[in-house]
Amino acid sequence: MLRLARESGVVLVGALAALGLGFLGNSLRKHPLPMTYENPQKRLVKLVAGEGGEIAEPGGLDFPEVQEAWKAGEALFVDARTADFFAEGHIPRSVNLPRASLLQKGRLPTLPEKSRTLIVYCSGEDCADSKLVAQGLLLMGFKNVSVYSGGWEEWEASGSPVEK
Amino acid sequence: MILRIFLSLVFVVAGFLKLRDPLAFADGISSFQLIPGWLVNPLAMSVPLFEIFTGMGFLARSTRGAAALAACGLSTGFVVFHLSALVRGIDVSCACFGKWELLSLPVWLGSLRAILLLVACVWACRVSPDSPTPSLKMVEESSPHAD
Repeated sequence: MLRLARESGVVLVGALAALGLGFLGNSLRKHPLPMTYENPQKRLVKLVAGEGGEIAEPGGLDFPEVQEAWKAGEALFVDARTADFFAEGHIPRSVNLPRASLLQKGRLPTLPEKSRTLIVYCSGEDCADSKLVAQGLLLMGFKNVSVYSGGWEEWEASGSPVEK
Repeated sequence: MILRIFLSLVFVVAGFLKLRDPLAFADGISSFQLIPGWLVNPLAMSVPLFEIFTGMGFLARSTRGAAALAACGLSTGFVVFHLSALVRGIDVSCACFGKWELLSLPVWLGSLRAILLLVACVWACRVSPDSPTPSLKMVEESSPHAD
């Protein structure tokens, strides 16, 4: 019993040391963690828009509008999914721009002139990346950015052309 | 002996990898949706160091028992987190080995891994000479009916 109490004491001291050193080590980091956790979406918005910054709301397009734009061939389609999903299949003539790449200029694909219409999509109704990437593009100075909320799932299910 | 070295390696490596990328570990903790936001980052800062201390504790005879106790506590926590995610049907990324996690395990397999780790830690508690839980042999030897 005495041994258990002694070892519990050692564990408690270790836990307190880990807590103290953890805070100290974090404060010495180049990019310390804030005291309150923020999810990846919040962090991206803050990085793109700045602290307290406001982000414009991109417009939305439904499937017939998107199909028409694709047939006209003037809009550039931007796939906001990760490279793996993009490689498995995407809307023809799309460029891949995952949200992680948005913040790393070296990984950005060659983007067109700022006045060109961009249509951003991701997996489907449930994913948030298309809106985040569209907001990032608006902040980068692109004027005509829309979100295709139906995304890849709707495009593929409709039997429209796909590219791999 | 082998078990202690194995557990020492597991905890030191897991702690070190998490320590290198606390943000990925914080995202992993948060994905379980089990603890409030204000507790996520303090845990992400301190748990990796505690794991390293635990792993190193297995190497010294005087701290072996405490290390086994701490390992049992940590692995119990891992099991609770994984099983709760399994029950609630949440898809989690445990980041148990930071972003260097080699395998993206499904939740049930992550739960199984956590349970196996807990079993190993409990076993280490029982076989350690400095263990807080005396082994069956020791109990028998100290019993007045043993002879």
